[in-house]
Amino acid sequence: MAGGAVSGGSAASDTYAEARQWLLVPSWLVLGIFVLAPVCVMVIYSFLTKEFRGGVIWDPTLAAYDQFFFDRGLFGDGDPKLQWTYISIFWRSIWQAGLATILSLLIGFPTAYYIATRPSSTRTLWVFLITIPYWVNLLIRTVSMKFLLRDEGPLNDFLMNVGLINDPLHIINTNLAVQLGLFYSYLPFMVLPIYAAVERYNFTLSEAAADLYATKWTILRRILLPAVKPGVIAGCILVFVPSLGAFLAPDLLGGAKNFMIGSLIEEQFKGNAGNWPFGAAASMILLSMVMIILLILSSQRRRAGVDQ
Amino acid sequence: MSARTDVKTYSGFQFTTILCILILYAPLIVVTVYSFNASESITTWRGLSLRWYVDIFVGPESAKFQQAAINSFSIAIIAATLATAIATAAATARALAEWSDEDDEDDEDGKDDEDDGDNNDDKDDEDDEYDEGEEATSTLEGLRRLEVHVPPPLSQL
Repeated sequence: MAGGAVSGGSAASDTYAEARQWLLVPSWLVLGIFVLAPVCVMVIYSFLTKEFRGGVIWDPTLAAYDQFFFDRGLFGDGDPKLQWTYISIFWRSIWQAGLATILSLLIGFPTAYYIATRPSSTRTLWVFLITIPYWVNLLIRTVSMKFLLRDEGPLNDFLMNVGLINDPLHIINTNLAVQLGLFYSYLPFMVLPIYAAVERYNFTLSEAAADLYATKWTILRRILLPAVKPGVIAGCILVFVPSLGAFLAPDLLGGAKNFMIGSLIEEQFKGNAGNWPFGAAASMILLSMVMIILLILSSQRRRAGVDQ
Repeated sequence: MSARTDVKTYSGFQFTTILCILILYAPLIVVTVYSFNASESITTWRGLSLRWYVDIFVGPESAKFQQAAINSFSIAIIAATLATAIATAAATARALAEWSDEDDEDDEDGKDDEDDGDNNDDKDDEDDEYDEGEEATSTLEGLRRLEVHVPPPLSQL
């Protein structure tokens, strides 16, 4: 279309190509040094032998992975039995993160929808309101959640004063507390992608459906949800993946009983009691799980995008 | 008319939104209120006081807090500056790639071409959409003729 302008383009784009390469060097360096290199270190460490006071001995072995999956008795020479301790910790983490994600979706979707249907003048304010808590440090937010949920905490005081309950609810140090903590930590991550998707949604489709006598619920289920599905999936990924590896919420809110993968890994690298190769192996297993989930979801997302 | 706008609103969504905001802010508000607590312990409320703020700014350990604040600020400023510089460079590279692909068919590395194939498709779609509104078309066309890079609207990214 812009026929006259093309003649000067090729010389200019050669300069661009060169500039482009140099402009990308810092990003590649940062990614290489701070993402790729540490992951490589973890891969290598997971195949090394543990040093007893933390650290590794350069002696390649599969012991860390073996310890994760199999129990070989007290002296390590028994018949290998499947070891459920760590697998159940992983399973609990998936369960906790999944429940936190569902909870975020139940609260986050209506919120995102409501914000996206506000007049554009107030929309920014709403988004701002959702974003501000995220700027507060995660540790402070988790500690304040712990403080709020205590047996003698403000939440129980309030519920007892209102008369809803007679005895304080024991929320702290339960699975529910961890779920609430994870839900609270990552709720904005659910709202924002869905908001972006609903904002793009063409509401004339809803009107057309209503003209054809679709009920509101049908419109929501058959028209709106398929259209904003990529946003919903993105929100679920953004809540589920960090929840899976979280260690602050389970540590502070869950107590000693409600161990999650993040705490398990953290413990292996903390102080002198840790087992670095085992921590690295657990990290690798977590990382591969996340990768598989992301691959499945991104293929779903692509399909949803094509459907649109 | 009211029926048409009604399609957009779902009963209960407003309530959920208010609940969501409440959940997000309740812990922060509670901690803020308790920062004015006169009591030694965080668990018991014993009236309003500014003693903890006094402690931070002029208390015996205030020097430690000041040093921590200075450290946090300097690290944050350095991190933000570096991140802005590196990300701007990368974003510029991306914009240059799109720009030169627009009027340059024979790019040296085939990988970029493949990469940007999708993008170009997207742009074609947009063009089609814009063709329906005359004013938008003419403005975009004019800008393209002037070789001004027209980014796709944010909502389409």
